[in-house]
Amino acid sequence: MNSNEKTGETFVELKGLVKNYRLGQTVVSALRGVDLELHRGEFTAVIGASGSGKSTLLNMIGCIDNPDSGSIKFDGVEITQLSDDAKSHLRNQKIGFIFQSFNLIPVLNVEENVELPLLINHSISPIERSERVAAAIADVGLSSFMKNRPDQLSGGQRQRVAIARALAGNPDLVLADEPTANLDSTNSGKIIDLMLELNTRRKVTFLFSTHDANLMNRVSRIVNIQDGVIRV
Amino acid sequence: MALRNLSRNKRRNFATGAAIAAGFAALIALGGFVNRMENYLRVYTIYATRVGHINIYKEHGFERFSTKPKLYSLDEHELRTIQDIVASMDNVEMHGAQIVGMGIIGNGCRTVPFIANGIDPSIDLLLRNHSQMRKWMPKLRDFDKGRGLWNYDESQGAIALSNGLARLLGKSRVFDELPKDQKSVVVVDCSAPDAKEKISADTNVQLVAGGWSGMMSALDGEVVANFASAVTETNNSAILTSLKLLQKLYDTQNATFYSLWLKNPKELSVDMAKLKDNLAAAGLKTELYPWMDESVAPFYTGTMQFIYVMVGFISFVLAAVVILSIFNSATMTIIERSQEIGMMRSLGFTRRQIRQLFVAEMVFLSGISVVCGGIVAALGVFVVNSLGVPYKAPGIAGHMTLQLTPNFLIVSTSAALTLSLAILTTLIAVWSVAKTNIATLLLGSQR
Repeated sequence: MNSNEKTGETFVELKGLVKNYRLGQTVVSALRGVDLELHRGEFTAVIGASGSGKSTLLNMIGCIDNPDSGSIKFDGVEITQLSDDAKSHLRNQKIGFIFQSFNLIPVLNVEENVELPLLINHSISPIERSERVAAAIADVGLSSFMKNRPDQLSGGQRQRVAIARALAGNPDLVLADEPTANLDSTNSGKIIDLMLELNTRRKVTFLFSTHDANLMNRVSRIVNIQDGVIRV
Repeated sequence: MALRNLSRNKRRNFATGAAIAAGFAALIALGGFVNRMENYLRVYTIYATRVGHINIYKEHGFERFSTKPKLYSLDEHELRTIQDIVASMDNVEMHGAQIVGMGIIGNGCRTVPFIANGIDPSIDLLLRNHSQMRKWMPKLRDFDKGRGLWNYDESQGAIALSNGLARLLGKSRVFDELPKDQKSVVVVDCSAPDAKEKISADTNVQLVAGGWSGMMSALDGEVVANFASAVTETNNSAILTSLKLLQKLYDTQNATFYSLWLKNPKELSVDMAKLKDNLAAAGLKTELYPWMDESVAPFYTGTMQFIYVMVGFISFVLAAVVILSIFNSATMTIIERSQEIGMMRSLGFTRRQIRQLFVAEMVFLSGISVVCGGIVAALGVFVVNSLGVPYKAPGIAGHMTLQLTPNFLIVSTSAALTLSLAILTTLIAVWSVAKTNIATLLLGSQR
């Protein structure tokens, strides 16, 4: 069964998620018992003030940070107890990441940056890998920039490469932490359009944190987080 | 990707690579120096001082021979038996009995003590022409003046004096330099102005020693050659002559020890064991010494231990400099790229894969550096060996020439050591970063 067939069903479930950070003698509560369900195909924005816990929430769902307590079920599997290698495998196979600062590797060209997560997925043949990379780059409209390096691209183009990299592995979920924060309004709009189009066409679930009012107006669901707690 | 990452911070990678290359070249040079010294001293011990690969002494002979030479030397029967046993061994290249003894030598006016070594002149000829002597100490295989003992009849009493001893005795000429009709020179008044000239005008010397039977013994000898004894310790006292002449001087048919030179020295321990069994089976009470035993080759073992300690210390300092350089570079690179590491981890790279990436980068850098260092070392060795820089080594008579003789083992071991250090140091540097929380890594410089 592919993700298209399961559109609408809950596939990420958070219960009682708590995360505290220790800064010297001070303990900062980033998440205070968060409960949340994500459904397939949703285009969801997490909003909130700086330090409200948006990034922490995305990090927990993306298995790149561990909660102090609580449960995270991803596609029915409790991921908080997984080993580090198992979490790496899960991220590689099912989750795509888009970062605020693009995080492209400067010595690799567009094609190689997009190919990077596929190189460690040994179930994909070299031919299929090339096809997926080409398709992902075409989806973000950068086919003519395949051999360009990141320093030869604009900010908007770099973020498109990051989106293509996140989509190349055909993930169930794309997590984007402030994807338009480093872009001007024109480029922000283009990136939002692109993500919406991909959400519609590829049926990929998007969850992203943002301050961008343009983005908030166009999402199917908004999760408002304040002081580590989700407000309805 | 690892190779391309090297182009990121060219200046830093160049500095790190240069440190690795310099360290590698220095290791090769040090190894080449040690190899040269080891071979020089080994060949000096085995062939130039005629110690041989294995020495056979009478039981307790090595320790007690000097006080009771007759009792603790090998007699005729023992020498014959040993000769028969040794002659049947396939790996023996040369063998023969030797006498070592002391006494005084005079020129008619002055006497000085000597330490004499007596050997069959035909063996001395073989030893001096041995391929190892030609390779490692070509200068020492020739006499500085005169010809070898094998060129003279036994009755002539031919002896070779070390350069220092010849100088002390005022014997500036050797037998072949004298006119054919030279008559014996008698110096009546040693304080006369022409005494020195008369002494140097002929090559006759008198050897006096205590015979092994207890009587004093003396005989005349002719100085036929002068030689460099290689070590300062013996340069003023060494005499080389025939076994028979010394047997005559010490009034004996015995010998101090019996030496064997092997075709394949790697079989030394096997041959030692075989020889020991055969000697015991023949009823001989003997003791065997390998050439590197501290008792028979104190100069070799002492000098090499000193060199190993010195070179070990220098190598340690070199390794520390290279390690710190790599560690510093790797740490800075990893800190700079922590956000990238976080990104790669979020894409699904495991800790192990991250470590492998950084190790691969260092392997590439080290590999390139080792090749460059090897070229620098080859050029350096060529220049040093071409210059022929003379230097004075402690305990060695005259000047040695600085020669570096690295071989494949030294180069490959140095390369393996350099690469291992580079990999280990990088692993240490990347280990903790690879274990750092991904969210923390993604913060990069904001951490």
